[in-house]
Amino acid sequence: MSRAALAHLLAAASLLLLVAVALTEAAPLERLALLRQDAMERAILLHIRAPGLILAALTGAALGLAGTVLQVMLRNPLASPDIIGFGAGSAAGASAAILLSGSMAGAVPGALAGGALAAGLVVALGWRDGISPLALILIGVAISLMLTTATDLMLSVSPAILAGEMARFLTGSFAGADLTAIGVLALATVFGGAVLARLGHSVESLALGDDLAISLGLHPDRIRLAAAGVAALLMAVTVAFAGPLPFVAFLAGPIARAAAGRPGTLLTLSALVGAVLAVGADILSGLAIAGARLPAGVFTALVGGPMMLALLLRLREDRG
Amino acid sequence: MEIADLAALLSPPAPEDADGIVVRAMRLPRTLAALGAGAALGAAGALIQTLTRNPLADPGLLGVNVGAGVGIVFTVWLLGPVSQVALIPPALIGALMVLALVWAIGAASRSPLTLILAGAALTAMLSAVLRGLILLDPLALDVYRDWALGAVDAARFEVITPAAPLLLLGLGLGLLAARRLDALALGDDLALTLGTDLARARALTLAATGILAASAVLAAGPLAFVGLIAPHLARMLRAESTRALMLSAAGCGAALVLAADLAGRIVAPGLAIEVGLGISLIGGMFLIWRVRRLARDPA
Amino acid sequence: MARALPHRRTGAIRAVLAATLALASAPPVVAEPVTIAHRWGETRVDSVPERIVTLSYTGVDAMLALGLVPIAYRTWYGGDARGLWPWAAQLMPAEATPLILRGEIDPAALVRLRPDLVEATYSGITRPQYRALSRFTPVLPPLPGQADFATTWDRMLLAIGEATGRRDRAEAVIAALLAEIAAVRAAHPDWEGRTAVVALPDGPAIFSENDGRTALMQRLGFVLPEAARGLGRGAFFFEPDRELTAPLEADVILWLDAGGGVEALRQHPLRHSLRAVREGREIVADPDLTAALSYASPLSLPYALERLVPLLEAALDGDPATVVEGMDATGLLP
Repeated sequence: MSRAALAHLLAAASLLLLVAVALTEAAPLERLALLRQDAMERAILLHIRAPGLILAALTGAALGLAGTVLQVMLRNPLASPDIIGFGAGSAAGASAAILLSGSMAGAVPGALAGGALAAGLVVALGWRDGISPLALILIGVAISLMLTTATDLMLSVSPAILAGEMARFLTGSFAGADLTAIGVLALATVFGGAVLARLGHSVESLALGDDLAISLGLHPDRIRLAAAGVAALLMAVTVAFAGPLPFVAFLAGPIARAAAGRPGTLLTLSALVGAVLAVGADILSGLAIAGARLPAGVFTALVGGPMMLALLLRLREDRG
Repeated sequence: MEIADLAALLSPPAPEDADGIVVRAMRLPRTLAALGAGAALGAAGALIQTLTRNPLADPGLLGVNVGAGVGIVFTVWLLGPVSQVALIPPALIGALMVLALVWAIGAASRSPLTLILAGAALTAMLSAVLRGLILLDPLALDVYRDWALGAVDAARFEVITPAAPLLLLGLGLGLLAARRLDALALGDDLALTLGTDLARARALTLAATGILAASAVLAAGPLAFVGLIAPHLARMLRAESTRALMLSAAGCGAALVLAADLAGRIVAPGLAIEVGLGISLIGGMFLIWRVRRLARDPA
Repeated sequence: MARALPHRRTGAIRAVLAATLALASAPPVVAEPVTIAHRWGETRVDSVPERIVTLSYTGVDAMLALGLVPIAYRTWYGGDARGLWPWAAQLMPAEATPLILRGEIDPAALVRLRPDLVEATYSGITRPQYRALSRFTPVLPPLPGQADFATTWDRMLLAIGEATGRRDRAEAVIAALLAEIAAVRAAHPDWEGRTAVVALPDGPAIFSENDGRTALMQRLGFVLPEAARGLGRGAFFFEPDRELTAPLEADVILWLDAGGGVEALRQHPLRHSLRAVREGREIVADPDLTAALSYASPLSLPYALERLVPLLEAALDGDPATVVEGMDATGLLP
């Protein structure tokens, strides 16, 4: 078995194991017995735990796809949609809508609109007779900074309790799991995954230079536009339903490439890794403090931060 | 003006002398804070843009602001609400720690892009930590909300005094760095043959940028965009060498913050409009106006 | 901190609360099924709930005011080890061991408590959470037309009273509290039409007419100074230009200190130029009184009145020499 196949298998197994741990709350035999006897426990599993886990897995997978395709397309392992402004746009849009409506329900339309606007702005401003990866990154980082400032502004002018709820949303969590969320996210993930799978090799061949791609009969800009559009869509949908979950988009691709031992988009593997990260964070969010559930984003940040630092230090050695 | 008048101007005004208080205890420190923070950010912006050859780089990208924010929120979380002055050391420590980290990652890297992305990624990570902390403590959230916009209207001498030596140190280091950067501008290889130590020039520039940004965040909180815009204004003024660019960006930055502060008071008389809000509006529009011409793809 | 005992009895409210406490041990009132309209439709409560979870940030106060002890409640900020402030701590039975909820709403953990009512009118609950919880138990989300945190204490108490078969009790508590406020106003005809500002020292930020804290002062007969009206532009609070003291020039200034406020006041260069400060008509509410006014619950408001009225009396007695209780301890007096 090739190393890449092994990595896929390992990631899938980890995901299944984590889901099993989450559903049985780490005590499989007792839980299974309890589930057999207790109708309420079955209902909790079906209507509360399962939707949360499915939303976590879908969110992670969507973020993994969005992250890895942008990293490969922009030829930079740090250039994920949560760094170049797509995520910040959704977060700013959601915050504005929460502030204006006074209710958390504003988050979904706000995130979708904000994400679309920000991604459109980044791509439009980064257009140089076509999409230029470097310009896109530079503009994306600058716009991200601007939108983060705008989000802080919204946090500052909200009434105190609403600001607390807004901060909770901005940390990222799976508290909004329901059939609508799961349905929309599943559709977006399948659609995005399918488009990316069709683009897959052409995105990778862009890494070898546009001239080569053109000589292969490809249209680099169309490919980049499609890939960026899909990444923006996936990012906006995840922020709408799970908040700006930090680091998953950023980390899934590099972990997948390290595990598989080869470069490339590695779509399936990145999606699996993203799902593992998100489901793992969901499990931790219920365990860390007895009697208090913390948003999952706290844990993707705690796990993701050190991993990112390691990645940065490796980059330094590579390039230094 | 007689010496006695000057002495009277510097001595604390009587409690019932409202006009005297406004001028000496409010407008003077407020103006100094705006000028100092603006100058620091302008100079820092010129340095970081020259170093990374990225006209969209902002000193805030080095994570100094979010580092100071984490320091403040962590302190309030640990100790409960404390006075503004007591928050200076943790803000400074947080800013310098993040700076050291970005510096360690970025200083040795040849790729300017790595530095920008390292800063952006560290900012993302620390923002998440910060949001986690303010979730656990509504009072820390309140302190953070108050600080996060960036303001100079409550500036006091006790708060801006610690920022002044940092500003001077940063400007001094910046002038030293600027000379080396001019040599680098001729190209890395040429600079090497000219005997300029590449790594040392980078390290010096980063240190100067970070110290300047830290002094600004102490004086006025996190002000985005000043460091991004001021160098462009300076270039419009035809500043050529890095040293001239840095000094003229410092001037432009100081003017920009002061103007934004005044604009806020004119636009909404009677209300306190934080200077950070005004700058973000101006900066956002400027960014969109100029960005297409700025981000030339060197590749 | 040593604090002088309140020297005023809020009699009517005490009587009502004593009655509700007695009721707590009495068997539940037999009630018809009730249907309560809310933002997302209607919730039907079939029998009088006994195991109540309250997710509202001020919900435990409302429950205790009705003589109910929730099996789990959410805390907002501060308070004692159980997240309770003095006004609620004295009503919570010592032997009760309700679960204290912090952080995010955890629907699975809530369901396992087997509640027969989940109250969430002031909680930021999301629609998915409401739907999931509703499969197991009646849930009371925000009331019709209300934003997440816009429901006033009386509407909230009425809805909870209705859902718990204690509508009469809720009406009695509301009537007693309103009567108490009216009685305070009637006993102080000299307050009528005088100006008062309620402000946070940091900024400073002034609460506008829309805010409950300023609304309470208006119910006592005070008005917002002319210069502070309209500046809020519909928001709950506004920050006047720091050099502009006119909005703060009032017959009485009530500073709300949630912590660190005394230091912020000391650092405001123009504070001593305010006439209210020079003439001893300034009140600094300590963190407990500040929280009581901010919670604005049926329990915290009586507590706030009991402590605030003597402070207002001392501030407005026409004699600058009278020291308002607590002001000497802040070190803010000249």
